[in-house]
Amino acid sequence: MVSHSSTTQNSGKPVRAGPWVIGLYFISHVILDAVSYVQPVLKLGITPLSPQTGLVLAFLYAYRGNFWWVAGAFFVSEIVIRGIPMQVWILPLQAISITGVYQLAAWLLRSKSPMDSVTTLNGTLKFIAIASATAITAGSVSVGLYTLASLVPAEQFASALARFWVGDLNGILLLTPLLLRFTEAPLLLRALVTRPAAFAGVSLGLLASFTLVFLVGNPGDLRFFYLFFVPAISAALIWGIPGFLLAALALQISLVVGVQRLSEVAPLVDLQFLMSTLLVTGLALGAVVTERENSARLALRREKQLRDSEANLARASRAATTGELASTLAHELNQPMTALVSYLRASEIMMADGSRNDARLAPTLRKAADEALRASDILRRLRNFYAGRDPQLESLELSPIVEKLVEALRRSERTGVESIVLRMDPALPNVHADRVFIEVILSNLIANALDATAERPDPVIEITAHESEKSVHLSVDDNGRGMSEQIRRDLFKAFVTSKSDGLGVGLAVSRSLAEACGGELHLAESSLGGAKFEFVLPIDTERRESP
Amino acid sequence: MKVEPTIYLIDDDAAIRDALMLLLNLRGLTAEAFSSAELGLAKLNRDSRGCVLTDLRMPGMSGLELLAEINSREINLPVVLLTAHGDVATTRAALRGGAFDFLEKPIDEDILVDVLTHAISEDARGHQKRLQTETQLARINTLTQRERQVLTLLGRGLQNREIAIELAISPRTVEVYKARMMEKLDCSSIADVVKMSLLLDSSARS
Repeated sequence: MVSHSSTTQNSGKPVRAGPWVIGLYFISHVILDAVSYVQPVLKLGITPLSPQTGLVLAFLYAYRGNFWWVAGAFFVSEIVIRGIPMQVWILPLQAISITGVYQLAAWLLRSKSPMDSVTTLNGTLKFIAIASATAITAGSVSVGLYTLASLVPAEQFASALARFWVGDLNGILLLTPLLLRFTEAPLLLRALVTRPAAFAGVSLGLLASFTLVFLVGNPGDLRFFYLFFVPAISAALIWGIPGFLLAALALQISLVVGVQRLSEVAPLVDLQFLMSTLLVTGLALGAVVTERENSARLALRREKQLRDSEANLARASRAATTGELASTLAHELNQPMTALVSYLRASEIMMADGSRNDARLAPTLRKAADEALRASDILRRLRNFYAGRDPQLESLELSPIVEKLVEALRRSERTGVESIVLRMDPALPNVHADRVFIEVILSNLIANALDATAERPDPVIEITAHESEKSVHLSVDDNGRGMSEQIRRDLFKAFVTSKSDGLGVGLAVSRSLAEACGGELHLAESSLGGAKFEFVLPIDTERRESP
Repeated sequence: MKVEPTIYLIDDDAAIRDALMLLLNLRGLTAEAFSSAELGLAKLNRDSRGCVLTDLRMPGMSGLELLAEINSREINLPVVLLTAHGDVATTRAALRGGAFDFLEKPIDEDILVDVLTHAISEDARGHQKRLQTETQLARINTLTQRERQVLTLLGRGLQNREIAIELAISPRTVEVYKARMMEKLDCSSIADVVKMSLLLDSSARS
């Protein structure tokens, strides 16, 4: 029944309610006014309880084009409930001016604190402020008119205004959010059902407080009212704003019933002031709880999204880095395949010649089998890499791995490999890591350095390793073009690259591999003027303590 | 001095050397294997006949470097390159560097033998041509000053009469020089004479 979507809020056109909604509103307005017509001042519509104001604000908030229906409802309920006063002119004037105030309040609420934001502390406090200002304005207008018409003596102006204010305020604070967030009722219901013990506790608390305040204790003693705070605040703490509003609604109804049925109770207006305090406290507390729940839910959702995207990325980048790796492995794989095919063809020729007992046949076939095994070994390594296997951590001597890799690079046709300088600390302790991961990371870093220094006449790439704070720092430094601040910031994110032909996944993958080994990979200050990457590996402590 | 055409196989992978040697021998080809470009290069000279079959990626000197070295030393052997993964850039560099062919591993044996046979016959033809040129240049060297002038002018398309005017001798004398020159150079037609003059031009230029 309620529409407060952003499109309706932002369009300047008045939004009109359908006949059913208007009818429902109109009847509810009159009924609410009638049932809350308790302890009025001089038989005027100045009661310490005006739930219809909450209804009016919610109605105008959702359907801004229904000014005259609201004014009409004020007018009619005035006549029906309180009769036509001597000064007839006051009725339309009052109805129109109060409706104007609420129309303004609805506009303020829409622009300053839309109902969606009454889930955060900030939004809720704004809502309370607007409600308070609305009540005092409407009260001033209304009581002012009564005073002008001499229906209220001038000396009673202040007390009448206070009565009017607290009634309107409580009406707005309680009913407006309840009505406008009605669509969330199923959510609240589920929240209540999932915690039956708490629900029973709060209900019992309300009942017990009511019994103590109105039946057992001295109802005139306002101190007992504070008992209501316990269940109401509990509801706010457990279910946030919606739970609190429900508890407050029950409380408000019981207050009206209690005051009407029982004599000798405190004046309702005093109870209503306490009720205002309770409403403000509960709303603010509930907002904090709701806000925290929402942000926790949001964080959970974000985390899930992040996990999903990381999983996708891991897959995508594994495929991409493997471009380079696959090329290396293809070379390796083709070696045994070439030998294998040649051995088999040779065997075929030997057999076709009719010389079946060629002495070379058996050893050739055995050699072919060896080559097949060699190929399958390489394939297994490739598959393991694609499968994203867990790291196989072992105690490793870093220097030979690095030297072997650099040696292999030097043998390749890549230009610039001669500029690689190795400075490995000879007393380096063993590291605890996965050999293949180290190789992939290091080749990636060296490949980047080679690319970065490609255009320099005097390229230098320095690979150093030293021990520091229970880890080995293996770094690749170059005097290449370095990188911009932008690239530097997003460096380890996937698909960020300064290369025209790169996918930009190498570093992201390298970092995840480094972390899988319990190490880390980060950018350090280059001492050569280009870029320096530092790969920190954990030391194998067992090896070190018992050499 | 007849040299047996040999396939100089260069690959750092022992299994590949072993397998290809076996296969080539079974196919009736003479081959010699080397584990590095340096070792192979030490064995090659201008009198080597046959072709080079080398891997691209090797420790030390690479296949492309070996190709450049063979060209600069005027060893004149066709070079067939083997690669585990043919990327366009390397292929282009190899062909621009004067490689005879480029094969991807694993190699189809029939294609391999076909390419190697072609390379060997190409080498033989090239060698034959080089020998012929050398003989012809030797013959040109036996010509006298006048005979050489007549050869050059005939090559430019001049008639006997025009040559006579150019050299300030009688047309009859031109006829005599021309006959003697053609005999020395073993030419039977004016087309052969033109070829010889072109050869003279190119050798003078180089």
